[in-house]
Amino acid sequence: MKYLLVGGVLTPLYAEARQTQDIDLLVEIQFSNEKLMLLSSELQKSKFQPFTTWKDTFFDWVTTHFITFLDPSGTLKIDLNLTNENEIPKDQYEKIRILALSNRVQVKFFDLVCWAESKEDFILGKLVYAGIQDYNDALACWIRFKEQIDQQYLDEKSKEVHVYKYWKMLKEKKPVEEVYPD
Amino acid sequence: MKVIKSVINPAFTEVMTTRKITDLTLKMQGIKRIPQDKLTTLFFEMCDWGINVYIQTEMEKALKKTKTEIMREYYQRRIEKKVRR
Repeated sequence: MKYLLVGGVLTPLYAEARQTQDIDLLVEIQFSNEKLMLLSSELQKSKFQPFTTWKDTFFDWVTTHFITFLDPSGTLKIDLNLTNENEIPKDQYEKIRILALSNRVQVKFFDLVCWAESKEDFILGKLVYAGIQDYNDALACWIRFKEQIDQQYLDEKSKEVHVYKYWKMLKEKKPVEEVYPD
Repeated sequence: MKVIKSVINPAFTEVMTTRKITDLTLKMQGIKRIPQDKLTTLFFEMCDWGINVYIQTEMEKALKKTKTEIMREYYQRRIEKKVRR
């Protein structure tokens, strides 16, 4: 199963380490009953915990492309964002998922090597989600890794997901108050 | 509904936002000099600390609650808040 880490858990690697209460993963999956059974039984076998029941957890997964549950200790929330690379993206959220999946990179958490979204897709995702914290994370990433970031990729892709205006402001290091005045 | 306009002087706001960017730039320059493993350790410690303090505080308020019950309620509240938005 193709997976990658996305979002807040990458802040120590890409931006400014900050607190986060959940782990976001993007997983490529074909939506079928067999896959549902497989995923559900694997999660149960590994002692992950549902919020209510596993049936509820998977209730609307085909429509929402999302499931959430707790780790075996019951303290950490894990969000699985599901996507299918072969499907035509229906919105910009789906588009950034597919981009992240095809450009995934390997990162290291100590000696553990895992797949993660690239720095460029980290910035793009944050600009699409457009929260104050998201923008600040993207800005920190830009300031920290400006020399390594593929600006041409971001120029192009930010237009495709309708955040070019914000990417331009980020490049100019505009503060969040100026970018989202409301 | 009456809209209350901000009474903060725009010049002051501009100074503060410029300062925030300068602070962030300096912070990022500092971060570049810290080994990645140290930053990752700091991140995990920060997250653990946050969750543990929350659990401890909630347990003091409701002695019978387990840590899983506390976290379930916490995340459910966050999910509901997100849905409302």
